Formats: sequence, C-alpha cells, structure tokens
Amino acid sequence: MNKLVIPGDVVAKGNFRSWSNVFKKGEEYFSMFVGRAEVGGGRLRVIRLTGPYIPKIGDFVIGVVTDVQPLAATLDINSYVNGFIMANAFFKRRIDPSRYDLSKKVNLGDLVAAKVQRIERGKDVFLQPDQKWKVEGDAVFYISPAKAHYIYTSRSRIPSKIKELTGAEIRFGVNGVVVVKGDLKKIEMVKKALDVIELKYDLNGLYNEIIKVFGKDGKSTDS
Amino acid sequence: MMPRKNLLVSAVRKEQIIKSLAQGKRVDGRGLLDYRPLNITPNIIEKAEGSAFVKLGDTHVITGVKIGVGTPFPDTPNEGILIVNAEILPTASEYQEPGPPDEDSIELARVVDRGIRESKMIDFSKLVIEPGKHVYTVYVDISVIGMDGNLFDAASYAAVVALMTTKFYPLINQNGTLVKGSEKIPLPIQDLGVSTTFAKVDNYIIVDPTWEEESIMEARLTIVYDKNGNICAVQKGGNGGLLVDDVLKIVDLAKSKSEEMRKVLEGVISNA
Repeated sequence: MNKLVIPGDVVAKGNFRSWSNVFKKGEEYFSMFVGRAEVGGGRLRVIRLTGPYIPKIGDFVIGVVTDVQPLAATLDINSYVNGFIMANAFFKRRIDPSRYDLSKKVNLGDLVAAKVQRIERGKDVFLQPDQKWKVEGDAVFYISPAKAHYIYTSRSRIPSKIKELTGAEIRFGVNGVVVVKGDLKKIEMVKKALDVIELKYDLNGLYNEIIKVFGKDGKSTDS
Repeated sequence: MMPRKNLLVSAVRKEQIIKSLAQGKRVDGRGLLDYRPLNITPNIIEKAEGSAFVKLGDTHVITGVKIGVGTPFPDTPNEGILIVNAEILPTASEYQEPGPPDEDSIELARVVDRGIRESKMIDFSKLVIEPGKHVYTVYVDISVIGMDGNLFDAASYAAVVALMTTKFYPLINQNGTLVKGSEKIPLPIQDLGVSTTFAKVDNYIIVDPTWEEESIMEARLTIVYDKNGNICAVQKGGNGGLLVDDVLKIVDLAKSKSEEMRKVLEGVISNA
C-alpha cells in the first residue's frame, strides 16, 4: 500500500518488523515527514519528498568549498550543516601544515566529491574525498535533496538512464547536487530530465516519465 | 562551527550563470529584464489592521500593519509616526541564524521605510489626534520567511499592499479621553512608491536578482519611483561599483519596470 502523507498522519496500525521516518504511539504509526508511505511485508517506511539533505554515513555528496584552513576545508553540502575534509585526507597521509599548503589543493568555490565518513554530535559531518574528488563541469543543477536521496539510495536506474539518454558526463550527489559536463545541447537535455524529477510530486513511475521526455529515439522532445 | 552567513556559489555555477546571461537569458529561464512570478495575497493576517503575503519566486515575505497611539516627535508635533521593522527568520534559509536583527535586516527595514516615507505615500498630517500630544503610530512589521534574493522589492510590495489595505478604528477625543470610533477607516494614502531592484553581474544588468545572482553580483541598485515618475529613494548595495552609464541605464529601466509593477500592485489593491 502506497499513500502520500504529511507529518502527523496515521500511516498504519499494528506491529511491524522495521520502520523508518515514522514514530509509534500506542499501536499507531505516525509520519514524521511529508512523503510517500510504503507498507508491506512487515515493513513500514515513509520516503521523504521534501526537506533538506540529512547527512548519513556512506552518502556520496558533492559540496562547494566555502573555507580553507591549514588543517581542514569546509564544504557547503546543501544541508543545514557544513561538511569538513581534513587536510590529511587530501594529501592521503599525515601532514605538517607548516610544510604543506592545503590552499594549493583546493580553493574557495571548488566543487568536491566526497563520502560521509562520520558524523559527530549530529552536526559535524566529516567527509572522505573521492578518488576523483575534483569535480569539473559546465553546469550545476540542484534537485530536491529528499528525492535525490531516495533515487540514489534505492538502486534506481534513473541516474544511469539519464547519462545514457543524454550522453553527458554527469556526477550526482546524494545531497541533490548534479554536475554536468558537456555541450549546451546535452546540458539542456539533462535539465529537462531533472525538471521531471523536480516537478513530479510523487516518485511513482518516474523512470518511465523521464524516458517519455526523450522520446523513442532518445532525442529530447517538448512533451 | 562558524555560522554560514552568505551563499558561496561554486566556480562552475558562476560560469554557468554568466554564460547564460551572455545568451540573453537567466539560468531559471527568465529574460534579463523579467521579474519572477509575483503573487500577492492581501489581508492574510486577520488580527492585523493591514497585511499582505508576497511570493516573488522563492522569496516569501509576510507583512503586518498595526496602528497604535503615541506621542509625536518634538520636531514634528503635527505628524503621525511610521515605524518599519524587518526580520529575516531562521526558517527563511539554512544560512540564516537565530538572533537579533543583523545588518541585512536593518538595511531592509531602512530601504522599505525610505520608500514609503519619501514617496509621501501616507499623509502623516492626517494621523494626528491631538497636536503635540497624541498621534497615530503606524507599525509595519516585515517577516522574511523564504529567502531567494531581491528581498527589497518583495518586502516593499508587501509593505505598500498592507498599508493600502489597512483599515482601523479611529480614536476620537471626547472631553480629554480617547474614545474608539464606530467605523473603520483607511489610512490617508496619497501615493504609491514602487521599488525595483537591479544587479550588475559581469557587465550585464538584470532585474530581480535571485540569491545566487546576488552572491556573484558586483553591485545592486534599488530605485523607488512615485506615481509622477520621480525618483524618491535609491539604495546601492554590493562591494563593486557602478559606472555612470550603468546608473543611467538602470534609472531608465527602473522607470519602465516600476510602471509595470505599479499596474500589478494597483490590480491587487483594487481586488482586495
């Protein structure tokens, strides 16, 4: 059973083996977020459809460097908290900050791809830079972080399909940041696909909707 | 953790914005001289004498007007008082922190105040109950609940619509005591100052900048025109400068844009 819920809505009654994004009171489970409730197989969950990016360990994010200090760089990860990357992680070994200059590695405004390594006190998010941490591109787009998180963590075929249909080099961040490399035509095509994700209030049938935008021959249409 | 005050746009996004401007359109699909969709809902707060909710794209501002009674300032004993306060709520963006009003909120309040005052929108001489003793005090409280650039115009539109739709019970002096009148009256409105804001981004002049555009702009200019086409308030922002030609160009553009926006505002007020 799938249904759209808002915070405080009763999602289900009874006992479930596992549940997420809901709270239990008596025998009833209430939604904590605006989202789509999925009930079945002894499981209960609400997939968030709105709201900011909430970091989780293991998430692959793309952030903007907003501050560079001798020992760490601060990243805007499109969330309510900052991300930090220690200088050691960039140099891949322990460094003496008097001899190694982090500002030669990263600058303000750079896009960096990284994985959430640990979260301290619920607000200090430490990141591990990706192998190809420097993200280069021609355009940056933002989609709803809640939707992005679902799309990238549910083994969805959507990201790979968008890459395939547009032919653009794309890097997706779980935090809703999408960086595209390619000519103007490819960028426009990616934007069209992302607009479908952004405008669809529900995530049902999203894959087919995106394919529909590009038509049978894979070329973008105005439909 | 240091609180994040400003949005820092990535180098890639900045280049994307500038490339798009060079092609004559913005990253959100607008033309250089197009406003975002403007939606104004007057009388949104029941308990206020006047109110308005403005949505300018993702910039959302709610404004309430309350009418109180106060003592006039010694230098203007025959004039009512206008007090404008602005607050950018922490819910407005993930970058806004709770606390007392910062310099951005103070600047916002001052610019809106100046636009109302200098366009002579309200006839303050008619807001006197007893000269030198009691006058009406018009409180305009602006709350920014969604922040995506061009707060000046959004707040200004919210304030003028709230003032134009304000209705309050007059106080009548009866043998030295102030008695509440029986019927509500509107504020003595005599003009409508319309604010338009332009930004200069890499030598391109754009109207109604978004927050991203504001964070990469060189300079910003807000101009308020009255109904006779006179400039009555100007505010320059941003760290960079504007050339004389830029200012002259903006002044011309602002005049035509303010006429356009005036029609929208008058339409909202007439339907309120």
